[in-house]
Amino acid sequence: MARAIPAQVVSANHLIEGDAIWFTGTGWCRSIAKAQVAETPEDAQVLLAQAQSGAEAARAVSLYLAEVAITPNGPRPTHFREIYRVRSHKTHPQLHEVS
Amino acid sequence: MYAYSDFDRDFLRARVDEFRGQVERRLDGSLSEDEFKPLRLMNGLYLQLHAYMLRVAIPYGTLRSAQMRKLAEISQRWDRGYGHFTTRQNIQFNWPRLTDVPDMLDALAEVGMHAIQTSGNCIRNVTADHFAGAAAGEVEDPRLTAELIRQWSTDHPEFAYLPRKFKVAVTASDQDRAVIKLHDIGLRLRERDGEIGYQVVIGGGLGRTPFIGKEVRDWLPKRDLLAYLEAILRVYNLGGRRDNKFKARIKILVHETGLEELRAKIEAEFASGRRLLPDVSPEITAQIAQGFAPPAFRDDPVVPFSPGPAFRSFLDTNLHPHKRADHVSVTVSTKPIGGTPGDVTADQMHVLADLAEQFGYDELRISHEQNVILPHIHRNDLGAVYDALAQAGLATANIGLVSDIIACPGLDYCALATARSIPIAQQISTLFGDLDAQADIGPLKIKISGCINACGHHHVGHIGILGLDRAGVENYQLTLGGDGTETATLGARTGPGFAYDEIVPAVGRLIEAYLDLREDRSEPFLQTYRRVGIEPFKAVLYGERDAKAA
Repeated sequence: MARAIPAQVVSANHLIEGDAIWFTGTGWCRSIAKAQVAETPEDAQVLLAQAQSGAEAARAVSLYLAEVAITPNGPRPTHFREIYRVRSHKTHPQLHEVS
Repeated sequence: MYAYSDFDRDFLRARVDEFRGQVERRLDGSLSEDEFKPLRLMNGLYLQLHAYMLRVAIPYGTLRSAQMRKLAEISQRWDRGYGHFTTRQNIQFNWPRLTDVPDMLDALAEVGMHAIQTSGNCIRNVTADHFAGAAAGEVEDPRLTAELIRQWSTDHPEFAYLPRKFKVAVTASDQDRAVIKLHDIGLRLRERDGEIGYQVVIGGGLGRTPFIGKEVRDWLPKRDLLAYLEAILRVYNLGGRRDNKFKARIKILVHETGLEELRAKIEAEFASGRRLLPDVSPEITAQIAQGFAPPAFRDDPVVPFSPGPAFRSFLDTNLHPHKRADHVSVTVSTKPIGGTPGDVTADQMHVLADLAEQFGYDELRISHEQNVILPHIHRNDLGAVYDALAQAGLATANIGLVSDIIACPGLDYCALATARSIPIAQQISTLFGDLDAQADIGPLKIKISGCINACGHHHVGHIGILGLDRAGVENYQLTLGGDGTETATLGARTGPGFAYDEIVPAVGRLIEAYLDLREDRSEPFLQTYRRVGIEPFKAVLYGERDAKAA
């Protein structure tokens, strides 16, 4: 049986802060829950191109597509690398007050 | 240590100004990201998983108190109040904003520090034995050589775009504490007929394809050092592969060409007398030596004392013999039980700087094992030093023990990582949290890398752990019997890897097995492993039947 094609979002880093940001379809946000989801590979390429076209003005760098699962609370990353990226940093809870 | 001349200071200011301009041009859009990236990397600035990371060079791991205080100030003002000491004796700040980095570099320049050549395919920060100049049995202080190489290699025009990064380490002792056999070039100072020279080892390295370095010269007169280094670098620069970054290190050139053929090329280049830079003048050598003159050691007679149990444990594990009987080197562990290896807070940096100033002749060292050294402490001051360290949470008595773990930043920070390292280190440390139990286990080096690049030196851990991404799941391979010292050995892989929640129990089983297998407490883990081999350890990892298949 063919593997199901996963949904994808466009992720990047902010040029100044360096933190993780996601493309909403019209702009960029710091919550993956608000990211625009592409459900087919073709749509994903279109979404990536759309994100790239406004990336410089939005100060988004290092753009790439990341796989997600669609949940009632919005897209959630499926790969552990992206999960840790969404959670930000946890090894120093006393030093990192990151939402 | 080194002292900057006006030329050096002007050069550094110019470099910071240049980078400030590059950041401004990036922000106003004059530079694209593709254009800017190599420029920021040339200034030690990486873009990681959650933020930028600024890697600052600490030449041969030596710091003065003022420099440590400046690192603390930088971490408080522009980062999150801590820094991470690395396996290359550098420090990394993990949370700077791009717009703050020029100011951070300016602050570093105030104390003669920078982030140049901490990235890129150039000659990186030269590392050295962290007990250099303090340990007994050295031919001479290896930092004299490291400093000479630092001056020669900084901004060397011919070697700014090598096929790949290039790392040099120096020791002057029979005991290799600088891992010289796992560097692109490893140098060991030795004495022959009253003359000082070098053993030269090339082609060592960890990463995807680990190799133990090979001796290319058993004797190199001191006066020929830079000419010979230039010959090696020139042969590598021309012959090293540029078609595949995974095969671009000199270790691959040595492997593919063969040592004899490569040696012949190096010797021919050396004999040609072609030099880009002139030989070192005696004035320069004398000037460098002046910077490393031993401090005016106190001669106070040692007063005996009776330490309490915790202090006793600290004295048992965290001291290293000094060349003077009335002094010792104190290793300050950055690895409290359950802590993050290599992380030191700004407050702790201030304590360390104060101690170095008050008791340690203004010197600090960073070891490749991610600890901080006070290299010269009079024995009469040990109580005061211990009390201050204990108050700052820096007195963990675990040097060389199971919780003195090397761990790379892994997937908690690093964009290249394929798995987490830090939580594994924290869990192992917590599992063996009891220091008496650790002392019973004895010397044991656990080294953890979060990807195949091996920043955590897992290949040379007595127990090495390599975190990988296996079909979207973190998986950890184990290697046993690695050794980064003068008896350098690459660890042997045990078999299939372990899941995230299986790896710490697996390490626990290895250590239980060692305790059962050792002849007595005097036989450390590595010795037992070498005596019994890998099979008994595979049996406890995989079960008797599966061990044979593994």
